[in-house]
Amino acid sequence: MEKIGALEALKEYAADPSAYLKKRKTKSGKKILGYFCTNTPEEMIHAAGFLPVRILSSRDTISLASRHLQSYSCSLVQSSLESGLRGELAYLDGTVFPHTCDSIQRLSDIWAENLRFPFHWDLVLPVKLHTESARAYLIHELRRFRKGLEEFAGRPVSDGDLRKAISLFNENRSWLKEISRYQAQYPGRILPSGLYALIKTANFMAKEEHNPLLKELAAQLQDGGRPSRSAGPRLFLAGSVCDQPKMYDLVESCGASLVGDDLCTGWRYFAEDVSLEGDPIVALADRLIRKVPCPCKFNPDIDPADRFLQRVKASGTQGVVFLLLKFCDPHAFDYPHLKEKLDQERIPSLLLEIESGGLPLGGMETRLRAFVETLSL
Amino acid sequence: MAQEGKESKEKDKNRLLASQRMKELMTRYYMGAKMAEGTEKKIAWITSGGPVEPLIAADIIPIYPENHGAMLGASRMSVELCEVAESLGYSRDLCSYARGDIGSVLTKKSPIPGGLPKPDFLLACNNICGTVMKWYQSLSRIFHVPLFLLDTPFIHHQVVPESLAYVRRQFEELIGFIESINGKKIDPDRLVEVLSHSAESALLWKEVLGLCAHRPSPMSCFDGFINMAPIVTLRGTKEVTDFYRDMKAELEERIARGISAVPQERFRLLWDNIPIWYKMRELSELFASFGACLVADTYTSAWVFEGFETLDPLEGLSRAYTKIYLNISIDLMIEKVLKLMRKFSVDGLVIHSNRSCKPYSLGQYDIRRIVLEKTGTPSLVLEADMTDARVYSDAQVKTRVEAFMETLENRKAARA
Repeated sequence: MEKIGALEALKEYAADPSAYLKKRKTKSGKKILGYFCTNTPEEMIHAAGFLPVRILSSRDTISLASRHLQSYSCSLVQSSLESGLRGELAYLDGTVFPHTCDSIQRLSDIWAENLRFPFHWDLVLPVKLHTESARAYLIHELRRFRKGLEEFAGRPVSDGDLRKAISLFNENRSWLKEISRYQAQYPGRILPSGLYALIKTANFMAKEEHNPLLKELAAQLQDGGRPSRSAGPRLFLAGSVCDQPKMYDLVESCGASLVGDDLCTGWRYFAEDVSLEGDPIVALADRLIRKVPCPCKFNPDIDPADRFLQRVKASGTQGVVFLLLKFCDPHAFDYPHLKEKLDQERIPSLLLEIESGGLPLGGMETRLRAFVETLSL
Repeated sequence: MAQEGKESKEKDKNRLLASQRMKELMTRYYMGAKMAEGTEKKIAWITSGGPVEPLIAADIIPIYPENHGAMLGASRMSVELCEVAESLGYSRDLCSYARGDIGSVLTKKSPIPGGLPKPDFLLACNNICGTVMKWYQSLSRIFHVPLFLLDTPFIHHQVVPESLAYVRRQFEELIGFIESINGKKIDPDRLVEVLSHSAESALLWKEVLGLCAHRPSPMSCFDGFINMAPIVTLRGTKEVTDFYRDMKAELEERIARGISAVPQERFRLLWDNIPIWYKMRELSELFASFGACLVADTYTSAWVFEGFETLDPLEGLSRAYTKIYLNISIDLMIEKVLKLMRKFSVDGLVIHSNRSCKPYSLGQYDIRRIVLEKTGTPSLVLEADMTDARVYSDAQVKTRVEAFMETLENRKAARA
């Protein structure tokens, strides 16, 4: 199956984001803004003439960051700061911190104090998303962000710029959605390592370059041909972020396939489109409101556990792997409830925790293999 | 024997009368709340930084799981109850107040017979952390009761007017929510009255804490930790203003009579973060043995709400509840710490790095470095947890405190 040209290209980019970004920056002359969390309206960053790049880091060693962060911070927070302090994010011109969890909120201050990129923005999104007052505040906060971007860009960001960006990003989301449908339909056609490359590149590549590759990949997946291997037990990944190629390799080496996910680096990134009607800022706000709330957000109008269960069932998975970052409070609080829901439906699940300072691969492999084996029985 | 007798007399003399009255006040409060369980009177569980005033104005009994969490810690019941929550899948890395509370709810184990009275609804304000929302969502599922979230946008630089407007609108929504549950309107005059009690008690609390600026200090922050329960749980009532008025008078009298919290006070320290509830006495005695008094802290002073005093009650509530210590950036926290250090003539900082509380703890290392750079004041970091005693090491804390006190001695000698 590895005849896929587009997938090979994506894998190459995924292996060295920094090389891509440096080259892209020189070629396009565009500044790069890093951001945390899928709730960041990337379209606005793009519309202002910058390349939005999600900061994801999974370093094996943490040393410089431990002078600023306690050992009970999650690996995303520790590892990102470590990368920053080591100068590995030197291609960035700034960073956007949307309000998500307590740790990211504090990281913003520590980041601003110690890294001092030219642009630093705290996008203080509301936590509540179901009331008119929250919506009004959210729209205001996005308008304030637009002004901040305009100031940094030295030019206005028009509604037309925003709409163009929205349609480019909607296209990206639609390809990702289409590929995720094939992923569930023909799990043998795209292996976990390929899925990693796909979502990893979605988080840093310029959409103008990413979209054609996705288009090509989607066509190849649809045509099919013979799957390169049998799908094996079908797994569903749940959690926050997984920037660990080794994790996907591990799933692959256990002979399993991935038929769906509920991850910030996955479905939650591309599930919801932005409307092209009306005021684009309002449309961006409404996308956040419509999204199934992540554990950091509060929207009693949508029950995330029910949605989760529906999606798990629809994926045809045989088992769910919760991939939680150790010390990620919002996800850890939801885990017992989600696990209970799965138990009630007799859907097997496994909890794996990602710690900072590298994956404890040995132990994880044993547990994952055992889990996959029970599913194959 | 004679020595012991003298020491205990010394301690008796040092014990605050207020602490005894506080116990009576709290017992009455919890008994009253237990009695109300199952009656027409409504009970709401509320976060420690939450706006209690509309509840009191609506004659609803507020219950504070965090205060209960501190009680579980002080009575050393936390670990057992945390383990109950852990057995249900709640990670050991989560807030130990939340774990202990969930354990207590499910087992009914508590220093209060039968545990806290059941809520009719929940009110969480995220001005102290995002954890309270997750914790209260769990409670909402366990009790099948509604949850109101008051969302107070975090302040990175200054308060944005639109964020205050958002909070103000939520107060209107909250009042509607309370009225619909309670089946009657809140009397606006009653709300104004409750707010004036809150404003007065916050001011009295500030004055009580302020008396520790006196050298030697008439009480330590450990006394403050114990006697903060009323300002947390009963503010908005007249009892609280009476209580702190008396406590203030008692401290003034101690100052007049030359009674200090720590005999021969030599060092004045500032405590940062939530107390280590199960080690209060030990830590208090350990520091006192070096002549060190913890004269100020960032925790108890968080209940010195400012902004209640406006003509518009909802505006006052919005300001007071948005601008609290844990809802501000590290830069703004440093400003507050420096202000406390100046006011209380602080020689050193004792920083509790609290595994349970990320918004309070992440950033402490930078705060510590910046304070050192700006003022030369050294600090000690204690890695611990507010109620989960499993992560506490007596030997390590003792060694670290001794080393820190030696640093302070050397500094003192060098200055002399």
